[in-house]
Amino acid sequence: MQLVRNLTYLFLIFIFSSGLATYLATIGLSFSAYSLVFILFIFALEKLYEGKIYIDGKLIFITLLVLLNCFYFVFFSAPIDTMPIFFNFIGSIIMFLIVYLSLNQNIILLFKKAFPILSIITSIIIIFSYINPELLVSIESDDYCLEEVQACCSIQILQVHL
Amino acid sequence: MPGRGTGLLLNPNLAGTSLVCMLGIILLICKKETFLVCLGFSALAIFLTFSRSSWIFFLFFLFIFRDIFKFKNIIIFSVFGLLAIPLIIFLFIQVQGDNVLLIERYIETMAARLDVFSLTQESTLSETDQDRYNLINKSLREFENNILFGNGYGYTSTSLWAQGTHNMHLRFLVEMGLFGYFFYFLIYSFFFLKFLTEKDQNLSKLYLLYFALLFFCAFFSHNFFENYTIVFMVAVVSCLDVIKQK
Repeated sequence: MQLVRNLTYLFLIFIFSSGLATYLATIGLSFSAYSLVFILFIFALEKLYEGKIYIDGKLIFITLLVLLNCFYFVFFSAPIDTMPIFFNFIGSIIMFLIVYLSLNQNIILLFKKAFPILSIITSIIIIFSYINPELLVSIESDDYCLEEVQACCSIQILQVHL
Repeated sequence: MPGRGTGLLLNPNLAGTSLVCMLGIILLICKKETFLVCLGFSALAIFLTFSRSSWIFFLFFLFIFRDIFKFKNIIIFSVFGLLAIPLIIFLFIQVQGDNVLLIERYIETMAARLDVFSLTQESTLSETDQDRYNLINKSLREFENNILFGNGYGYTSTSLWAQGTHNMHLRFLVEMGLFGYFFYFLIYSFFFLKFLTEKDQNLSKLYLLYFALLFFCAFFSHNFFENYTIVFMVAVVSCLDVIKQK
């Protein structure tokens, strides 16, 4: 089971936590949040089998938070399709529950190796995305922001006033 | 996003902030040498996001963990300083597809992001800053419409709000009112209480860092809970005490 747990965390870290899932979604390859439901189901089953579910204030708070969001979603939604926002929230809650149910010392040992690697890879990608802005998304994409245009406007305004 | 490093998250604010969050966990669980190597890479990356909130958050991180920067570590930083030389040379390369050098774009972005001239001449205030100022006014006006229960779930994602609120506090207040904000208040208060009660100094500082994320950085970004990177880090740090109890 520890192997399954380690592999799950590697999946969570390098697919969801690294931002790879976000990036892949922009090019049409989305990792469904249903995979998170499946992972949570496995860990919940394991805990039920062991009969050692640890319950503290955090779990009660999270339950209340889910109820609050369900209440607002059902009775007090803005006049738009709020389903994606709600599912995004549920995905975050599932992510929290997975960590809550399965975090242990062995996972911390895994973090010791995974987090430094992830931070270095992330840093390198950020540096390269600065050097070549079209490295990750093309200029035609909606994800390509107009920040540079804003920056240039600011410089032009500055030059006029100086 | 041109002129700013974004990484896979495609959002400079989230990229910078999540790197600082990651550094906090690395510092707690890894050896100092490993942390310093990660810090060397991350510092440059955070700088290149040109996210002001990430810069402030990173400086806050360095301040609260300042006791780890001893003299022998300065030698390691010097080595990283030498590694910066090829990067500086690289800045004089022409940007692919554009007729400017990287350094020119760097100066443009820096001037726009710091926006120091607007302190003396209001007319030079950049569009980004003016937008944020307008957003705060707009959010407060909308909050007054329904102070207790807000304007509805997902209200700041409607077409009336092209950029969202750029502020977690205002987002909760506008969408869910004081009733919904109370839950957000409990989330960041949890980290603050942990900071006050935790006996392990490093862990206590980590809680303080995450409190700063959810309280101070939240004034500059509205999508922390829509992003799995931040959610994962917050979940790990908030569950560190669960390991002791299990």
